[in-house]
Amino acid sequence: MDGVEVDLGSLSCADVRPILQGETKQEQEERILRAVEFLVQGLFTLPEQSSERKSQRELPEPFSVIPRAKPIPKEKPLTKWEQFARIRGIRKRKRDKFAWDETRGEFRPIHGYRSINDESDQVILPHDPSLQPGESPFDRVKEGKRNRVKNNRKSQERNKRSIAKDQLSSRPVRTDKYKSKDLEKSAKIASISTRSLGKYGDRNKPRQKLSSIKASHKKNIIPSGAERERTFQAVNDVLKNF
Amino acid sequence: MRNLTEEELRAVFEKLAKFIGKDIKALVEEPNEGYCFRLQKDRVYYVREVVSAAATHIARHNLASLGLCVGKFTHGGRFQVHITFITYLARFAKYKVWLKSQSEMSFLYGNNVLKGGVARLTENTPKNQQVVVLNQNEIPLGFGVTARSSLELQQASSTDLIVLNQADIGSYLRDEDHFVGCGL
Repeated sequence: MDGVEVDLGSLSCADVRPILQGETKQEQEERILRAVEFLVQGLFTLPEQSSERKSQRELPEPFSVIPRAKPIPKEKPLTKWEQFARIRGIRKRKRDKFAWDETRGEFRPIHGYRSINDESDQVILPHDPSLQPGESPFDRVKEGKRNRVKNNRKSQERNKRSIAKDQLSSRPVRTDKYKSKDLEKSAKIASISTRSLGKYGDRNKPRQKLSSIKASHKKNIIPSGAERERTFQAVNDVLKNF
Repeated sequence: MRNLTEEELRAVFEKLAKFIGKDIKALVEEPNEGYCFRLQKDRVYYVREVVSAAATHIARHNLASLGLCVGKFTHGGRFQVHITFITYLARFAKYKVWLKSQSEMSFLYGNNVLKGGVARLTENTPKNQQVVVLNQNEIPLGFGVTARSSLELQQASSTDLIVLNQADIGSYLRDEDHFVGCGL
């Protein structure tokens, strides 16, 4: 329509006529208003599906192609459990988040912090015959939790690694392309690093900064005043012997 | 890239003085006041201070050359003047040799100068003197060292060596790869 592209599907209108050199702000605003008018007109041409209470029209399919801002996300490889569940045909069940805790008399979350199975705030624990003499059941509870957390983290790491392995297998990694300068730099960094990332170690010993190696070379350029003196001195020394 | 130490400066000026004599002062005085000497990878460069300040921004590994290459320090610590400094040498040289047009090409190929090729020689040139070799049009062709003094020249036969070729501008073509690779 007259230099105005209206895409009802995406509710957009665009004035595609070229922008002239001496166009004022008012003229530009007029163009925008005109384009919007066309959009609204177009909307009212759509087939009505109104009822008494509401006015409704169905928008057609949009035809303008809007490019993606980011690339299409890659499909994440399945974790070990997801693979297993898929094979076995295990489907996710919708579960509740909270459950009634009779003993405490309140709703508690099923998993995680303050969960219904959380025994860390127990004051009295029932006696377990498998306990060794001297072993505290409270310590056992704590240890159990620690182990669970640790195992959970391990599985996460394992999953990450196996995912990374799958992704890398399609592209060969060129480890032979290290430049000697990169290796030198790595060696320098290694020579001043500590295992604890600087947390422990000889605090009194001043740590050698990587930049100090470079700084010593910069000092070799002396200021021009002193340098000129030196040059004159050398010339005079030589001319003395002439 | 760095300044030259006192010893290095002395070595350079001593060598240059063999060509130029007392005029080595002219290299550091007006109108050449803005020029300085810089050392990069055993090569000495004669460069304007402004340019050398700009060159400090280039990593040493990547800096091929700056200004004019005067010469280089050998492993043994001796300083050799390179052909690239010929313009300044010719400007201030004390002792010059002018070649006949026929022997120009011979010299540019790296050959030594024979008596038959000498058109003119500065008066009282001693033996073993650093000289600048020019052609009839006063274009500097290179430099060398005299094998015979100007007095001996008269008694010499036409095939006797007069000037030993140390450097000539023909090497820009002969040693093209060398120049491009090591950044003269």
